[in-house]
Amino acid sequence: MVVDDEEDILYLVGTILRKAGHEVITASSGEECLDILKTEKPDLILLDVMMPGIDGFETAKVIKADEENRSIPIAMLTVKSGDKDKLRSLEECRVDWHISKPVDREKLVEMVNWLLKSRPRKL
Amino acid sequence: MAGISVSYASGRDGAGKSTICANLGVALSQMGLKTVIVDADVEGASMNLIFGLDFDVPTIHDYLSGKASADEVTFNLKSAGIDLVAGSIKVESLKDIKFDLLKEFIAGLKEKYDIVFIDIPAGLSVDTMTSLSASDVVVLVVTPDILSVSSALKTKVITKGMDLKILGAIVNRAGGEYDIPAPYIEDMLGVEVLGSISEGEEVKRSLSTGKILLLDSPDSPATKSLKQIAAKLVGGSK
Repeated sequence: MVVDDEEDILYLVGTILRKAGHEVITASSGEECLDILKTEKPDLILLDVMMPGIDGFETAKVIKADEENRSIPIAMLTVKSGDKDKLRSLEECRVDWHISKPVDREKLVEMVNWLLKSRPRKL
Repeated sequence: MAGISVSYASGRDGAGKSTICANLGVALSQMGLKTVIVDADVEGASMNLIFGLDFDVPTIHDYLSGKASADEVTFNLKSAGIDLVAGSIKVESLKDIKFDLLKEFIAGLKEKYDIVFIDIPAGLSVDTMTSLSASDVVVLVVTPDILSVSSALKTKVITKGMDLKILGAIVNRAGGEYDIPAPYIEDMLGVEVLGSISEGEEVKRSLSTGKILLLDSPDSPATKSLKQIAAKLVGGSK
């Protein structure tokens, strides 16, 4: 699942990952992501940070606090790429990785494949 | 000209920083640099064990508690080609030590040696900070897992706050199928990965037999990686 409030990013990331052979669902806010998780269990969530409403950090915390969803790997995909932002992602929000934007297409696919392989969601 | 002090830091115990520090010290000595290693990990001293030095010799603990001079705690290890300031493993030796004396101790060593390697306590304790403040530059040692990388990132943030230069990171115990790849670690930490060391049979043997990998298995892949890292360190610390 790709979560971002910018339609262009959702389209771009979604297209790159579909071309790489992945099924992609999208959400345009933290609230929509949490809503979708009530019925769908994606293998990976790529989560933007700066979104109106619940931001990416808070969304990640809610997911990681939920026993039913906490094993879904999350990678932040964000322009907030300072060391303190990364630490907040990894330590406070307990996400699985932090990808700094901009990221090139090939590297994004590589990272997604690595996350899917190395941090599989518990079924 | 004064030498340079290099701390080996990791956010968590068990990354293998002492072993890497010891082997790189030997590597730099083999490159002709006068090298001393200081075991400043006062609560988890391990250099005696790594270098096979008697446990009853005067240690850094004795210097820090005013019981011995710098010369009395510095030992020449001919076979390894380095000098060593070991640490004590005795609990009672922690009593009365003044860790803030470390800075002047290291400053004194820098007058005599080209390279002063400091094996500092893992984590972010006061002792870690004091050890870092005695260093000119820092090398981060991580294992390729999320806990190690995130704690190394925390160490990096603290280190940068102290205006210390980070030479780079060394990835230890690399080569597993599910490891975080080195380029991703480089992205996350924002520092160069100087090299990765895989844990082959030679590494396991040197750890369990108490031998220095560089001397015990000079042709092993891990030794080659260590020598490449040593060459980068010499280039990067100039």
